[in-house]
Amino acid sequence: MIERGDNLVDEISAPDLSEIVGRGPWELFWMRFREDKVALVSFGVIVAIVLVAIFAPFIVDVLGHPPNAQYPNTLNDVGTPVTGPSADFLFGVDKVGEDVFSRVVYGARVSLEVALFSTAIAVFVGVIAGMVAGFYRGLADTLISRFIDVMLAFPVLLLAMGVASACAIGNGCLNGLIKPGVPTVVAVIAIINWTYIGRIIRGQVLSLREKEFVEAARASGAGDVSILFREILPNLVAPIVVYTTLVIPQNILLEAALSYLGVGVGVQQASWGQMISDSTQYFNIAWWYFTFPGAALLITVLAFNLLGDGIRDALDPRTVEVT
Amino acid sequence: MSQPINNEATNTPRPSRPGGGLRSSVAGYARTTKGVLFSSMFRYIVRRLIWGVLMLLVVSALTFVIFYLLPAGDPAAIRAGRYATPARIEQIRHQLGLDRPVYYQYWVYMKALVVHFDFGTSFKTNLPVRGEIFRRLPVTFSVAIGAVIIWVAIGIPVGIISAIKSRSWLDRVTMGGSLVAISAPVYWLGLIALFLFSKDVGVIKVFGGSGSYVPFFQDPAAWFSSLILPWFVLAAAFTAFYARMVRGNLIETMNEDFIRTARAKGLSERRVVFRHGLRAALTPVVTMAGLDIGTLLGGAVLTETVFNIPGIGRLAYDSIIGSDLPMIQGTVLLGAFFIISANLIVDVLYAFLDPRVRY
Repeated sequence: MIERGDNLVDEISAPDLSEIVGRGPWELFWMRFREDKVALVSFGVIVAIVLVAIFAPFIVDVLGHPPNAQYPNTLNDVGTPVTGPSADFLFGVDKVGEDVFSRVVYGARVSLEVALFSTAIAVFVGVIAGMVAGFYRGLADTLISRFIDVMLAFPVLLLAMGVASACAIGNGCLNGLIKPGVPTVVAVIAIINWTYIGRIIRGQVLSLREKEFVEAARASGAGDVSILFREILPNLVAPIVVYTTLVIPQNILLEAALSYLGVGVGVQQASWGQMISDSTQYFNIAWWYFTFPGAALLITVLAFNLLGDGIRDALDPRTVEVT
Repeated sequence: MSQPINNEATNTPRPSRPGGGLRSSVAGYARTTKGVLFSSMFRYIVRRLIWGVLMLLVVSALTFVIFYLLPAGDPAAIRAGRYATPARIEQIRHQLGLDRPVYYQYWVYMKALVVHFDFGTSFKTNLPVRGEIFRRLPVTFSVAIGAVIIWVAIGIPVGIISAIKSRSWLDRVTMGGSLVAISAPVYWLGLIALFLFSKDVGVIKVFGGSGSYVPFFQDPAAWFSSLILPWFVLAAAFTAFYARMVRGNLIETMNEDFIRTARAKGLSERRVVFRHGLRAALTPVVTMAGLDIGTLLGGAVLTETVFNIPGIGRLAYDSIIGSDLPMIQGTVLLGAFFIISANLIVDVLYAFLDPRVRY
């Protein structure tokens, strides 16, 4: 049995009922989540990565060199990066003599920035589209659902590459609305990602709208907007949270893949995918060149995946009896 | 890794509208006598086919709009070369038909495609797109088939064992390992595989390296050697994903009433798991595998790029980087065709595999 927290409920309830305590869903979630050591460690790792991203300039100041500074004397005569991990260059140097360590540290910024913003936009758009489709049904549902079908029929990576390469030049696309660099990659990932959550939310809303509490709200005179946001939305929080934490690692990988394919945030900013791509010519000479960015990517994605699993298990009421 | 984005598909509520697009459920159809059953199934398939063709039309139109409204580069300028005069570029633009309105270009393209099955000619090489695509299709097929065999042959047994020995150290280790495999970028795994095992630069020189692909009918042994690394690298994340999926499905199935019934009537545990549990647990896996194979046949862009395999994915990548619009259109349409076909096949198969679904 999981031990109870020292909360007010104990003091209020009658002594003979002390074993039976009314607990809110979030209290139950927290009780289960804090037992999950793997998820807690993953959360710690994510916090650490976020801190690294925020304090990148300070870290690089102490332990490395500026991310775009080139040190030609670390290359040999024909320009091959021959300086491996050492006290001066912790993770070695890359093909133009830049500090791999500094670029890995700065790469965390791009990775997290893109993943968080694109996920936020995708979830926002997907939730709105899914709620409208599921709640109003009829023509709105047909249009939205069929559009999602078409989006899902696209080869995802090709669509992403196409839009990303188109927006990556000059002033960007849509009259400069989507600027090259981080905004382009964020937009691309959001465009191909909102459909998944849109579908999930639509399905949930389809069943929620038939529930008694919606009927009750309508009977008491609530309008559509009020029902959608005050009655239905709170019931969607659990699937939204689960989906969001599980899709963030996918988006980190997608950003890295786009950068690897040369249609990412651009060469000015250090990105893990871009570094792995650059290392391809030298991978048999400079093992550090692809190992460290890849490891950073792996650790970040793994931490988010483990946290996502933990959150899903803790939110799923069915896991109570299993554990 | 493009697939596990789809991993919500097994528990996503499916739209039950007839002809309702991708992965729509076929439940809810008239439960009728045999003759009517056949004709309603036939009508369902026809309806899905028409919807599939419509989707291809919309995808092609959208691709056209995306790549014409948001050009990554001026195809005429690229074609003309670096030292072309503006007049020369204009002339090429006219030759390629790029000076006409978008809808007119689309109309010309679709007419050739529908009437002659002609995908146009590449802006870069001036060769027919159809020939190039069909030349590369066997390559992508080779990459996909080996990966599918590996992930099914390893992923499903591992998932079953993990489910049976749920919460043992074996289960924890394999599930932890599978999450690592899902989290690792496929091109990074590719580089590591090349670094360790490729014939030219590897630490242990055994398998063909980057760019060593030879067609099967030319030299089967070299074909096999050149693909063994791409197969395992591409299959890694899929294997892990399928192992987790099988495990989850089987554990859930084993808690169901009909399993308790099977146990109560005295069946051996082996029989309960393999005859009763697996049948229900593997149905969604078959669905998922069909969809994944469909997606892969459109080209494994990342794997083909890192191993320099001349397949559809590599072709698509080169075309997008080079603003070769007809080639982009061709590869996108091919990819969409495989995805839509896989969905259709899977939905029809579902009716045969799942006894609860009846027309």
